[in-house]
Amino acid sequence: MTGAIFILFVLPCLIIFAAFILHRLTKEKNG
Amino acid sequence: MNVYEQMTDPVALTIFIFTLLLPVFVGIITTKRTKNQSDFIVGGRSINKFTVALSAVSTGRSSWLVLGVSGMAYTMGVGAVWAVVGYITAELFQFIFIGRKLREQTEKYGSLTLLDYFEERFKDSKNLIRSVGAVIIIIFLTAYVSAQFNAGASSLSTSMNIPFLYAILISAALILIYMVLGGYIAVVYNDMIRAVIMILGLVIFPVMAILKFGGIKIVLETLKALDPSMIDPFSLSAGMIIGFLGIGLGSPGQPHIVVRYMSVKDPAKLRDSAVIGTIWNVVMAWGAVFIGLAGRAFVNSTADLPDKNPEMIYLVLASKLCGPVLYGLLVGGIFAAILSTADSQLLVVSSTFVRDIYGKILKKRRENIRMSDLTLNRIIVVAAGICAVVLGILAKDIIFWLVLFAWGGLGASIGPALIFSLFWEKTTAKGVVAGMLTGTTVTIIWKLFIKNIVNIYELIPAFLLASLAVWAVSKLTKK
Repeated sequence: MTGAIFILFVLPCLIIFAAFILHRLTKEKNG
Repeated sequence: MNVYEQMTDPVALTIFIFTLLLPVFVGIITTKRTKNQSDFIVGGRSINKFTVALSAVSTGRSSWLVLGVSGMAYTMGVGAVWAVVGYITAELFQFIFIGRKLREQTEKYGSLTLLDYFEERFKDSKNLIRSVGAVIIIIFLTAYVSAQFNAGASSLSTSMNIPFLYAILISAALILIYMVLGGYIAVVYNDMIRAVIMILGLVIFPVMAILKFGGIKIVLETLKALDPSMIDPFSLSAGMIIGFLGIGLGSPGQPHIVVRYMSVKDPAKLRDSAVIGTIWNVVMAWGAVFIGLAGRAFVNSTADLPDKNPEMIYLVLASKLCGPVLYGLLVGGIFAAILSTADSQLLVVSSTFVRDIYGKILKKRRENIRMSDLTLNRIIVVAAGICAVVLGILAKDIIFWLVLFAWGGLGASIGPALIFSLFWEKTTAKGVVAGMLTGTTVTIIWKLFIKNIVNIYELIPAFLLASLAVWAVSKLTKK
């Protein structure tokens, strides 16, 4: 059940979080 | 069981027809904005970040997501998530890195198509890249469009109880009218509207289905009782998980997706599009997975599905759980997914023909007669649409055979060539051609002969070998 909860709820949040992080990192890089 | 039974309800039918006709109104409204070939092919590079984000994501997801992924989740359980993680991650990086660079380069060179860009980037006066690329794009994308028409027409034929021939003609006519009127601008704004329709199908609908069953905990416990592997994300073989993740390698090579980046007004805003697009990609994909999971809890056995086909679970659930208004919209959502992919692909086929083959390879471009180019684009869109319909009717077997290679073939042939050309200065024209040919050949050979022995998705070896070919041939042919 833990695996299912992770892949159904945690993983999508992590991907969206990664998108925000990448957004932030590229802003700093591009000045 | 007829999942389209509810379509006899006048309310459901009216709503469904409304979703089919809405794009035509968008075409009429956007006609005035389409004044030249640049508007027709890349929206005059004036599309805002939000529209680009939703359009790039919607256009990449055909009925494969709505019907295919929900069917996978129905069959294999939560492991189906692996099928969506790869392309979502790939497209996140694409928006930020490939998209921005491609947008800047294509504006610098005045390129309207991907092949325009390759030619200018490598000063390929002999049209070597353009010729090879045009053949690959036209063959794979025409097959794709044809298959989409076919899929749309099959559903339309069953849902409205009309002959297949009429259904395919109606599907094509609905697309062609707004494409001829508004070109790329009509296509991207229709993608936006379809995104809204798809929100109903892939967000509200799965939530409704799960709540109706008593919540996600009960759904998962029911699945566990049916088969414990349904709730184990690692129950799939390693080869299968790698293959699923490898689907993402195909994204950078899809011309109908990357053209979206070329059309954004401000390339710096593609960072914002990346966040918007990723959220939308995640929401749609997980929505499709949740539909499959809830569907399995409702209908325990594939034998109870029409034609024993797991991909029917979306329609089965819709007919079981929804009233006529939502049902009409949900069936409209399937068409939205099919048509939003088909129109974008058709636009790339026609622009490849007009801009690359007619204009550059045959050198019949008439400078400064912009209206003529625009008119020609409009005529070729109709001609390409008719070809796709005829192929869809007469050469169904060949089309479905070609489509098996389409995502992988385009991904492996165009993707590595594009990435190297953008990020490695020393890439040469011959390297790009070698990559395109290697990608296509390896995809076909692997799928036909090697996949039976080594069960890995053909795109992965094809992408790697094509990258190797671009690198090695560029090294050997550097000036």
